[in-house]
Amino acid sequence: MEKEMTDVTQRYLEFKLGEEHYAIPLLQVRELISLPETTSVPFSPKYYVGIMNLRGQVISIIDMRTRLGVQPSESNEEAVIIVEFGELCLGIVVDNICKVLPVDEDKIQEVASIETKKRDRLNRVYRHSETDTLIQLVELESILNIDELTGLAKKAA
Amino acid sequence: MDEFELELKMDFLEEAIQLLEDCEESFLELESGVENPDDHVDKIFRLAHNLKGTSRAVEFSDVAEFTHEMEELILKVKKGEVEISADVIDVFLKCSDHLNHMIVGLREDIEARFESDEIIELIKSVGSADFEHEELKISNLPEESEDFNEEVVAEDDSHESEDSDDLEEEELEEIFASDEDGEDEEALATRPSNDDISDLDRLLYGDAAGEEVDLIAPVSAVKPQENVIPIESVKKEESAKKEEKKAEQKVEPKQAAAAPKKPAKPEETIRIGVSRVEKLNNYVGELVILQTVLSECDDLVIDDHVRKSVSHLAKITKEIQDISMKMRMVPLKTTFSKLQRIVRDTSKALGKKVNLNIVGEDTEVDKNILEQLSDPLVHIVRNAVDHGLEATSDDRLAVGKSEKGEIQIKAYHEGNSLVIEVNDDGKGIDPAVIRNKAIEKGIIKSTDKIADQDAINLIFAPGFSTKEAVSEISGRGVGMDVVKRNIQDISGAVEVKSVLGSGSVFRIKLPLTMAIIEGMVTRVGSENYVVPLNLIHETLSVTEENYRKVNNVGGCVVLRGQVMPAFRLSKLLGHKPQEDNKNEIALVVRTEDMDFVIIVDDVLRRQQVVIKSLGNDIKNTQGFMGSSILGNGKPALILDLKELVVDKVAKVKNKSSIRNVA
Repeated sequence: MEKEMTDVTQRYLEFKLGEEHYAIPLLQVRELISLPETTSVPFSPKYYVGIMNLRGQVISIIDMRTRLGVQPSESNEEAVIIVEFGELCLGIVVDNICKVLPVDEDKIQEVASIETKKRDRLNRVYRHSETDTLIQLVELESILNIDELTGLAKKAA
Repeated sequence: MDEFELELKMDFLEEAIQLLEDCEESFLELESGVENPDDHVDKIFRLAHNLKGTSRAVEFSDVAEFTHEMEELILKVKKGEVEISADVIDVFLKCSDHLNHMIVGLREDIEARFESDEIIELIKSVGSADFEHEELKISNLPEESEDFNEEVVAEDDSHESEDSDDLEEEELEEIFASDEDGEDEEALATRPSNDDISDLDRLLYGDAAGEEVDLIAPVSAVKPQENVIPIESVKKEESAKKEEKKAEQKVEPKQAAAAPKKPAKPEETIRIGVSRVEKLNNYVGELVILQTVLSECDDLVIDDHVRKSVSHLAKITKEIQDISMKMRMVPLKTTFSKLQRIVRDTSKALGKKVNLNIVGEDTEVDKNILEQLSDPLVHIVRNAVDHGLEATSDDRLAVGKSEKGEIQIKAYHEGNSLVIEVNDDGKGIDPAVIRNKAIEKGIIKSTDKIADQDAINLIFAPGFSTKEAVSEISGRGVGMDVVKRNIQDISGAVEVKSVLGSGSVFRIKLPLTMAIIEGMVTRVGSENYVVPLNLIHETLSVTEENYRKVNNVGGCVVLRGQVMPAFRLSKLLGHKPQEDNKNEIALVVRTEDMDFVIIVDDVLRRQQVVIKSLGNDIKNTQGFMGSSILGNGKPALILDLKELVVDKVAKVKNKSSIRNVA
């Protein structure tokens, strides 16, 4: 039985990158779409897919798998999560979207922070009690280092 | 402060700025001597009163208190106690500046407090001086009257609240209460003998009181236009009375003259956030794309009815697009009234007599452009007064011109552009003087021979200022080059024409909107890029005759004897090199600093594109000025060619050999 929703319960959107489960706070999610046609931007990093037209608004698309160095799954179910946080509105390509996940803040475990090369903060893990899967809670702000993005292609010329 | 209150206050500030602009315009019109000054005084009174009421309602006591004082003075003008003179207008303008200062300050810090004592004293000095000295009415207020007033003011001041800074609730109440009564008493006391005037007062006050009630009610409901009718009717009675008692014949022709001149009641407006308009524009853009897709399916549709509907939809979509684009357009009016003020202040400071003529203030332009246009325009207009016109009236008379200098600011549409001209009938620009100056400053060599027009254009060179002494008005050495750059930043151009002895014209040409540009859709590999058309001088196909490869640097194109460095766009953008493409096209780009050629795989078409700013994430990306959504719904990047090649050109220039090839 899942615990009843309390104040400490937050809702996350669970998705898969390769075979691994990740989740981001639902509040940051604006909508989910299938992978649209994109236009590539010269001199952008590998994880930067390009720009797309979201009902008249031009937004950037980023491949979360490349960004985190995860092998993409074989399935062709790619989906794009449109997230909105701070002043940014971005599309994030993921392998597939699972479900909305109520997360009991108490059950989030801090694992020893893993110093990856890019110093991403992926140190919060939630264990789903029923299926016994581990879900990594992603902090978009640090994964999508904004400075890095705005500096995109400054090296262009 | 709760959110609602804050919102009210912000609303007020927005509105206040609007009111102030109107106010200033009226002051200036009054000064320039309009046919029906009473209308303007009424209008100003209404505005000040409106401001007072609303500022009180939202508890900006400093503003309220100050506008109250201002209103008093306007009232005195209205009653004829104070003649409208340049000095009085000066005070009014100072008031309006002070108000502006307060409003802007409040916008930044909602809790800000302001000191208004000094200016209040000034206001009072005007009133009391005239009151005490009737003869002053006739001429302009002499300066010494101020000294005299100090004493009077001291007395006067005692019953007013002393410092706005520590204004308590009670004091506010007091002022509130004393407002109507006090004014009335004062008014009656000032002119006890004159029956008709006090009658008038009562009429006016009756009206004013009624307005007040309106104003204190929900602020959001206040609309300046609503007050037009009651006051107008009072005004009629007022003039009727005048006619009756003073038997002034003038009133009739005046009204007759005023009637046709008065524009139809201004269209009601609502304020909309820019983000909303932007969103609407986005959706409309999307609608247009969908509509295009639908039209292309025309062949598949067999049903006549559906086909008709589709073509009807196309028409309506076009209309909607037009309207949504126009939403960003605002008239130049406010900017021009600012210029009016600049001309006035500048000419006054310099002791020059200037007649300003404004044409086309209703011409509309994109709001974003307008914002960035203001500074350069101010500079040019100031220059026209300072440098353009002869130093003194005598100088003008000596060459057979009228005593007053003429300055004309004119705006009009020309094709898809907005043109603003600033004309002066001054002494013109002397190419010889400019040439000498430029040599002196090392901008050109003394051996250089340049045409007169080229010499005149040197005023746009960086660090050029001809005025001998750096004056307070203009000439800080940052002059025209900054103006030129600012205008170029909004994709505009400025040019100057001058005839020695009879004046100069500055002509600014701007795109009507920055939201749409004329673009050329080009293809590089499998991607489309948009190149702004204004930079492209001509296009030609690349052939073996006109293209030379230069080592591995790239190549150059020879066009009518001119050798220009050529860049492959695919290389500039880091695309994989293509196999030999026989149909490459060269775009000849001419800019201020250099001419160069960009080679693309193909040019698809020319079309107007709506510029979408890139998200914050890639805003700073070099080489792209934005993106646009093409007809197929796919976004394409709009290239900033200058930025793209800027580094490369430096490299090429180092290899000086490039110019000698061919």
